[in-house]
Amino acid sequence: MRGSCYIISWLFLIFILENLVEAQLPAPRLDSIFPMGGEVGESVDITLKGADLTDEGQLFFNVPGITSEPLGKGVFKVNVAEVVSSGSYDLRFGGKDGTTSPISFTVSNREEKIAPKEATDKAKAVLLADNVVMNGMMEQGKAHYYKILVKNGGRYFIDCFAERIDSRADALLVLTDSSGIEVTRSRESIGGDPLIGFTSTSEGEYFLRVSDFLARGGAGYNYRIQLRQGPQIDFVLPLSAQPGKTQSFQIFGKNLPDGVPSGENGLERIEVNIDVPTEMERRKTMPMKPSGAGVKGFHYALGEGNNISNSVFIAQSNFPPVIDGGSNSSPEDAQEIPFPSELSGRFYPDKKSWFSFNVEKDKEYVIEIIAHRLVSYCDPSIVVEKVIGDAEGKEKVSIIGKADDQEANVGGRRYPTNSRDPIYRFKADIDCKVRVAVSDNFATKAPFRMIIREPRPDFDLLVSASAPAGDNNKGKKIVREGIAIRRGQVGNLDVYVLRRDGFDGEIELQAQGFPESFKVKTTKLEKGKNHCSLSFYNKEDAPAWVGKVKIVGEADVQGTKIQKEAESLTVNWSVNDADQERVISRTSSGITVASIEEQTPMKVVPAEDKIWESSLGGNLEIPIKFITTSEIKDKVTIVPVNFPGMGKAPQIQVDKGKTKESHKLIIPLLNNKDNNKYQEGTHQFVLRASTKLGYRRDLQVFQIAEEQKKNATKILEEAKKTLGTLKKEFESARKSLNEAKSSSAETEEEKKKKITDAESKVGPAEESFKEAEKKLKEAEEKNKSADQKLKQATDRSKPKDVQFVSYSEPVTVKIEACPIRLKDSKSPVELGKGLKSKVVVNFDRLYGFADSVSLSAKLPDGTKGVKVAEASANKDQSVIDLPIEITADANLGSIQLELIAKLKFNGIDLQTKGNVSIKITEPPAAPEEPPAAPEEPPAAPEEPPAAPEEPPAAPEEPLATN
Amino acid sequence: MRIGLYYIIILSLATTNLTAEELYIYAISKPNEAVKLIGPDANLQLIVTGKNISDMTRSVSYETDPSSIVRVSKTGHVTPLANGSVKVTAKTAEGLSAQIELTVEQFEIPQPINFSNEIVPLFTKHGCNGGGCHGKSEGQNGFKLSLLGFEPTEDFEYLVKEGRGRRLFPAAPQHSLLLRKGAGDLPHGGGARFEHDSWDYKAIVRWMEQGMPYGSPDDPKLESISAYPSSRIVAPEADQQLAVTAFYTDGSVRDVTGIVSYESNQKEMGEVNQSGLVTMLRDQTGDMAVMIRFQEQVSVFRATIPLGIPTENFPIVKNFIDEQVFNKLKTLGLPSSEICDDTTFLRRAAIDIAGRLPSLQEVEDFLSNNDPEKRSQWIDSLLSTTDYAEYFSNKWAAILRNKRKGNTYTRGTQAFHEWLMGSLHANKPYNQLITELVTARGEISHNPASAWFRNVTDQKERLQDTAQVLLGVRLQCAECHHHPYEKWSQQDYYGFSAFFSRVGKKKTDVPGEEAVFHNVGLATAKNPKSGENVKPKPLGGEPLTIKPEDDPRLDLASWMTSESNPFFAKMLVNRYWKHFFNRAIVEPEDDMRVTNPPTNPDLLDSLADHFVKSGYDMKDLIRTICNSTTYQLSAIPNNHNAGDRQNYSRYFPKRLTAEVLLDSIDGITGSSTAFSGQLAGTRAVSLPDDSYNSSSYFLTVFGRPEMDSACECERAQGASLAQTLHLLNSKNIQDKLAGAGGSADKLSSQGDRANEEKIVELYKRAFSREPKDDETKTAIGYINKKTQQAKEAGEKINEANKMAYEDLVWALLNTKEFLFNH
Repeated sequence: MRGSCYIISWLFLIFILENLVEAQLPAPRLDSIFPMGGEVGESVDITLKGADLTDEGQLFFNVPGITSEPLGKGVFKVNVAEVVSSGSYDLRFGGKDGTTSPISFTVSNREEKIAPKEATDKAKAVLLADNVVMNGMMEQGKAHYYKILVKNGGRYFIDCFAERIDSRADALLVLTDSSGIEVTRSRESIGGDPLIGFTSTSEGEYFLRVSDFLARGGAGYNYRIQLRQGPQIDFVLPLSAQPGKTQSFQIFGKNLPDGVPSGENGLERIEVNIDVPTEMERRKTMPMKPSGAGVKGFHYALGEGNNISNSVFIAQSNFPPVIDGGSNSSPEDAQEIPFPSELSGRFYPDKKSWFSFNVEKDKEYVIEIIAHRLVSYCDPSIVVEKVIGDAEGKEKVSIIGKADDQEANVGGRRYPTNSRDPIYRFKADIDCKVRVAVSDNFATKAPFRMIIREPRPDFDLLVSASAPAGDNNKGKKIVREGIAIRRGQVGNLDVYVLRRDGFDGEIELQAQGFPESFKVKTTKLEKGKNHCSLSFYNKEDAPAWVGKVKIVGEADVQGTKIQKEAESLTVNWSVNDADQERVISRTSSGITVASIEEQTPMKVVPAEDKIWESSLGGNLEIPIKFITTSEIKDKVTIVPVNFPGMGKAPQIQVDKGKTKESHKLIIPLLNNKDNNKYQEGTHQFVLRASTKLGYRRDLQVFQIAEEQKKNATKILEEAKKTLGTLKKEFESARKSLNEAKSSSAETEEEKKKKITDAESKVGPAEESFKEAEKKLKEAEEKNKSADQKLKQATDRSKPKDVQFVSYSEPVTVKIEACPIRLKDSKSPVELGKGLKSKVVVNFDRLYGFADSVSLSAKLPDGTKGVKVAEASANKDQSVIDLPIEITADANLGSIQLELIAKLKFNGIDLQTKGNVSIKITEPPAAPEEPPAAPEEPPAAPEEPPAAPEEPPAAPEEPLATN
Repeated sequence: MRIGLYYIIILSLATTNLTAEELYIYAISKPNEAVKLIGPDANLQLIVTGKNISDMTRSVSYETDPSSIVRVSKTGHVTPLANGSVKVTAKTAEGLSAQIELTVEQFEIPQPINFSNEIVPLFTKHGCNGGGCHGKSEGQNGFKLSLLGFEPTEDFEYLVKEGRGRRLFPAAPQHSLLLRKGAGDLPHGGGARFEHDSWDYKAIVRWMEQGMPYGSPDDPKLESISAYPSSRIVAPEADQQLAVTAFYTDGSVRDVTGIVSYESNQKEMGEVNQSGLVTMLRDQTGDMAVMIRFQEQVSVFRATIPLGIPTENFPIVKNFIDEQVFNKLKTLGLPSSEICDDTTFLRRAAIDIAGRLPSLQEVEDFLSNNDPEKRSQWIDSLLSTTDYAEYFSNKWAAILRNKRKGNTYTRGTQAFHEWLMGSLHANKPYNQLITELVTARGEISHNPASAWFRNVTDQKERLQDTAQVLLGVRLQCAECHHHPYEKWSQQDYYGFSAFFSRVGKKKTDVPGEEAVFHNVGLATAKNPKSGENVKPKPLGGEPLTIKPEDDPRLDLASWMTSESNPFFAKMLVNRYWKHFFNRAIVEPEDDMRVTNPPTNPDLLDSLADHFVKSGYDMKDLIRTICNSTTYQLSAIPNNHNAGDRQNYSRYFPKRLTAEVLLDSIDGITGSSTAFSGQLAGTRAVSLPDDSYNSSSYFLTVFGRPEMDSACECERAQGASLAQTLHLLNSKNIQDKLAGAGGSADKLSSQGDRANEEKIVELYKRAFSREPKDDETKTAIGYINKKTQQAKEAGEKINEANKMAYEDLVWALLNTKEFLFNH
């Protein structure tokens, strides 16, 4: 898929499957598909629900072998090739209005069916056969009822997929026996989904109720359910493996072939050797939450065919595996583990598991638990103790640290990256033993990984499409992403960085996979920052395109260049109010971008393409201009965003009728206000403009229809005209014929000839006339058709109020530290011993600065015999005489004075520095001799050698500053 | 332990020496020592017990030998006259006599008075420091005392030092403001509280004469009190004099009969005066108790008033419940009602166990079943269905306050209810269920029990609800002061509170749902009075030392669910007993304190013991109760037990709860009620939280609890005019009666069935029985009349027939037989 693109034709008027619910520019949004999967080697018709899903669009899958063809009205035939292995894949829609974020499409190697309508009737429970996947869509207030035929003593598993595959359904299963007595129920067994395992006590029928926990239903509340008797893996130990090695694993579960009792109620165990692949992949049956970014591994299942087990994910590890021995519930029994290593174990409710390893003085160590990121439900915490043996062999124990949650969340409520996994870093102050107690605050038996290692500064990147703009209910509305970048529009991808082990350096971000029609600049994620927008500009003549892009970040980590490809993120479903509903997001198979052939309806850009400058304390003044194709219906609010150091962003509002006038965005660079922390340097930011537009959808389609109507009208008029002409000719020919027939003044022969002549003209005239009539009719039909098309296009392109947000391309600014620039001197100022003199310092006033400036000088350490007094320039002056006295004990030679100019600019204290060289010479031979100026001697011997207007030493550049 | 031993010894003396033919004198003393009166102000109450263990204290005459040592009043009250030993003889008119030897010592030495032990109780006895007088927080007319004297140091301050000492006048104690107002010499809002020549008045004078001492820190402190006798069968209109012993930390005992406070818990059955004389009233059978309060200690005397009817022929005893209940009835001489008939039992058990009426099929199957075990089978059948679990989850959800306080609570309340339901259906042992509840950790989605920590939002609510719901101890009072009716101090309160002091909460990805976890740290709760950080302390136990990393709730659960816990099992069986009998053995069911004794202690103990031995098996408890003859007694009273409210001599009819009634009406009318967010067909008893009350007027008007408190009393089971009107003429009921596809619609359209057959069906569905002949006749007559009227009026016969059935169903559902479980 990488680098592939798809040219989308959009010159057809389309039918929208769903009404627009977001008051913003059209961008496709895929809310659900049904059914949510298909069988290997078979085809399945799936129905898409969402917004702006056009009929001519296509489906894209992140695996070769799954293809689709549109059947209209949101239905697509999906063909799953035999080569596709079972699992969940990402499905995206791309159409003329853009592309959507992905949704899971699950492939199974079992027969697939759709729950019939009568499944809601308890009396007509539908058979859920062994090894059949039933796809159901829940109805509000109703349940689906299935019957299951079981054999006495048979061990069965009923696995329901919903939340794991992007369904909104919070599925609840209730199993009853043939007499209607409830056997068991399940809701949150695995990945938020239910799983029932039961052993039948008699042969006959069991009944299963499937419903949403809160009795909700409709599109999006879909599920896949299957009954099977194969093995069920609960977990494996170790939980991770080193790539490319053959490793032994203990598998714990039920119905395991040759399984032996594990010692835990109902749980069996077997040991297997697994060839660990060298290429690891991301988890696909239960996608990672954003906090789990960077975790890779492989999927493993026992058995094959219909007897295959569920799939488990075994993570990649860089360290040799160690397994929790289990007899370590007290500090004294702590299990010794090597360093570095990765341990796999399980929590014991209300007990701690103790481990120990040796540390060396002055070395740093990291203890990291990965559990919440593996199974979602647990809350690990660790306590780290230092154990020192005294002279008598007794242990002296002290707690050196505790760790619980990683609370840093760089992705906000949309893509939360915080987790409950603890990580603890410490530096050993002595050679000793360290003990670690691992426990779960939630008292689960969840498996966990514990990695002990040296710190390894690193980072992982995440990328997502920007949240849809518009009315977002004060940040509470979380809408699934869709990307549609119009011509001339700037699109953004949000990039987040998960910094590891203290890495806080700069990361250079590059976007790859964009066609040439996009301008994408390399962006730098600044030191210490965790989030930025990566902008890309769609050229004014860009063709339509849909394709996958990737974001690669490169950073210098401790002298080594590290490159990371960003994992993409998506929101599983839209919510109207995140204060009321939970937001679930996950990593996905990549990020897809689409450009469409429509001019952006509005953008606000700087009036010139240049670097805008000012200094701290001054104002950045940036004239702006509007480029619009739609009617602006409200004030336009313009705000600078991502401006480094900006606390509270200034904004300007432009009335809708004044967008053609000149406007200026003024950014006061005042660090004494609004938490601003501006720094000198060259920076970039973007202009965000938001307003309400009268957006005309498919304006180009309307324009074409209008043109076609004009042509049709023209053809019709011409046809009418031609017909009129030919009609006259025909009538004239007939008249001539009649006249010829009634002629009496000529001979019969002549008359006959006239008639023959006349008749010979009538025929063709009539034929032409009839042909013209036919053409007129055709023209009328075409005109009528053009009318209809125009009407449709007109209706469709009627202005509709939308909230619109545009971003400019990055605007470059340069911030100086000070609004004056001290001028350089090209040669040193020569001063004689025993003289009082002055150095004339010139400077440029910049950015409108007019106030006074004070100047002082700092002498090099050890300088003797030189005294420099402070001086200042009054308002509007640009030169300062710096008094200087060279006493007799001064050393001969050159010294460098550091000049320090201080000023106050709009209440901000600023300073700038410069240098001036002075050369100390012997005193002048005779007092009457002028000291330096060869052409203009001083007027009087007591006067200092340099005139106020002219420098004494340097004939061209008397002032020495930097 | 020493005090307890004395108590046992004294009681054993009292019981082993008593037979029906003897006269016995009881007086308070230390074990194995002579009865002593020390000091000139000592006093002693004699208790003379005679034939049939009846109190003869006031009916005997007393003689002393020598006569100069003590004076014995007609009421058996002894006061010293001089040092020495004396024999006191009590004689009956019939010539029976009994003797006791007393010794008076230190008659010439007035004993030092301890303010806390001797003066403060007088204020309590005379009501001075009650919550309605000087004991309220702001005091009364500028004079404040601590509530019921629980803070004697403060009282001392108020009396002696406050108001520049104006309340006391040591130079002439009788002229003290305190005594002049208390004796009514000066205007006093509370009137005269004691006489000038009373012992209490003189005691205060003596205290002032001694210089108003507070007492020495080494003075003995009160440890407990006990009443003699602790229980008695007392005939109607008979008396029983009480003697009250105080046990002190130095091992001394003292007769405090005259200075303690008494209060009857059933004033319609018996009264008690300030001297400890209990007088039974006429025509009341059953149990009453007298609460005795002295300083911070309480005790109780329990009296049983028999009816005295010969009770030889009780129904068959099926299990220990019947043994204990019938034993009590025999003691009372109160005959029980007969065993109810099959139809009554069928309906009663279905409502009590599953919260529903039996279906038509179940009625017919049961009535045609001749198996002698069919009642047990029916109970088992009901317990095996989720109907039982749903019904009892509804009960538990209310007292565990599964309230939907906002939209974000929806998932949590539903999950909590599901957890309850699943646990009850799986018959999770009660000790395990409660352990899971109070130690819940994690997210609501995965561990729904943790929702309880959202339902009860703070530490205070958690401890109070735990104590009340699970232990039957109402600790609320002890938050601010010593419990007035219990032994619980503020130290006990905050010690119990400390168990919940380390409950932490974390955010989850579900709005409104926080995860519960143990916030590592030392568990303590600050006693605001003393400023002490109190360690976790079980009620009645010693403070625990719990490591900071250990969750104290685990220790709490361990203590609560241990077999020796005096509260846990009793609370549950008492609650469930009330569920089935409409009257708890201790009433209210969640206020189990010494001063609120059970009506049948042996029954309560047996039930609790059985429950513990069964492995806290709740279904077994229900099975045991419902299989008892006691449960299966008829609700129809005999000639003697109509007024019985305590002894379960018959089944007490009870109104159907709002939910059961709504489901039953839906059932009889063939309609359904839709509940938002619930699957179609969800019963009202299956609703998870309170939110449906606001959307269902029916549930509100019939008293479904709002789940605001931990008390089952929140459910309003009384009748109201609004209920009656709703059933009679509301649109809601009318729609159910007249709805398409409803019972009336279906029955009226079944032209091939005889009306008689349809009426039988309706009666079976409504009452689980067939109609009587006159009932059938009346119903048929009404249907025919309506049909005939329609014919005559030229109206549609079918519609008239349907309306007739609507009327018939309407009439049935408005009968008491339908509205009650009986």
